[in-house]
Amino acid sequence: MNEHNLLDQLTSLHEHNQPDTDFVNRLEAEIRAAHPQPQQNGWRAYRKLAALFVAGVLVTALIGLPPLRTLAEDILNFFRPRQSDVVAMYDTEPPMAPYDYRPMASLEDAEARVEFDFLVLPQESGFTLDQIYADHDAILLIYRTDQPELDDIPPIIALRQLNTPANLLPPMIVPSSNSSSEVTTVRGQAASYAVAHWSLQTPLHADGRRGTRYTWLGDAAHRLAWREGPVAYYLTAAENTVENRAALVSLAETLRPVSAS
Amino acid sequence: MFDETSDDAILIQAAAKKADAYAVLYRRYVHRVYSYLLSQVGNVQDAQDLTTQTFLSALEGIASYQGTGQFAAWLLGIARRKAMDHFRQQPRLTQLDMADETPSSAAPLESAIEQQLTMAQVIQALDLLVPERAEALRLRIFGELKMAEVAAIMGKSEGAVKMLVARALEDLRQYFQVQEEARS
Repeated sequence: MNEHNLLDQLTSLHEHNQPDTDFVNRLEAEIRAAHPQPQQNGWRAYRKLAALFVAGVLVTALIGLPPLRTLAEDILNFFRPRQSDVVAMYDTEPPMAPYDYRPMASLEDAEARVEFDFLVLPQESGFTLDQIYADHDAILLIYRTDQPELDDIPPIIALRQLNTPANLLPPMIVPSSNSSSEVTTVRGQAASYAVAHWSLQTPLHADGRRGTRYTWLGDAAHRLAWREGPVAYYLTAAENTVENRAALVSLAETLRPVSAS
Repeated sequence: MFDETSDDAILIQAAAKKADAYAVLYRRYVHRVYSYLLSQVGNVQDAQDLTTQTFLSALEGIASYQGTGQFAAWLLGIARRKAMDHFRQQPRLTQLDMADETPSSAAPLESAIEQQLTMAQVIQALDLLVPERAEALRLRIFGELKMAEVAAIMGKSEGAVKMLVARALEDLRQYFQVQEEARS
């Protein structure tokens, strides 16, 4: 048996490994039943109408009313990405699902599950550790402050740490290809900074159980991403927790191992 | 609206909100996921259970998945983790419910060229290989992943994965060669 013949046979076996039709149909039905229903969102329609109205005003101002033209141009310029310090951009956060995040009751429990030395914010940072989700190669820490919610965005800081080879992850993740990020330095490493909001949500299910999911909410957060050896760090702070890039970098500089916190 | 001809990127974008889009993705990838998991666990029941878990987990994560180029690798990455969890709870055994497909040692064998391997034989042989080599081969053949995608999942360079796959094939070839000589 030569290698080519072996490869053919393996490929042939794979072709014959068809799942049972009943199983495929049954699972599809299960998936469809588990699929979240599209939400009826009247707010979305309202926002579209509002956006159309604003667009109409801008067009009118640009074309017909010279005194307002400057204002309209300023508004449009606000939405244009800044061109300074722009680095490579990516459309996606590293996917959550490949990691089997499980809620942890304490940092001790997390240390038992996580197979690398992760970092935490020190107690004197003023942020309270609220939720911990851990897998063997990943951990997500959610911190809160006593600040009030801002436009339904909770005052949270999320710190994701992924133990994964360098070639897997981009240096920065931003929510759209129109966004840009800036280069900075964190803990002696090159880091990327962007204003973008990737948020943990805790929707209430029909059965009263709270679930968790992550979603882009807008641009109301500051984000840092950097790498130290095999570990990638993603620090996201809602707008109502830190003021700017410098504040977030300062916070990142305080990260330390659990034992030193 | 969505059918077998729909582009992956479109389906992925719509899958979080449209069950039909996710269902097409499911139909498109279920064979690869199932075949890969079967090559891992060696029995149909567990392969079906893990396939179910994989697609339900992927459904939970599809809203956060916004990549367009490596959906198969993302999905197989989930399947791989499900298999790893499965083996943490239930260490790998050599019992295979497809063992009855394996020819008995007393049975006359066909010539090496004509011999048709069974899945049970392949699974047993893969369990004897260096785990990384076996895993690379499983993802490449049964997961139908490109070398670069296997590399991303395993956290290795593409060159290293090519080497792992080549060595796995050579190990398997030698294993079956020895088996054949022992029987003849």
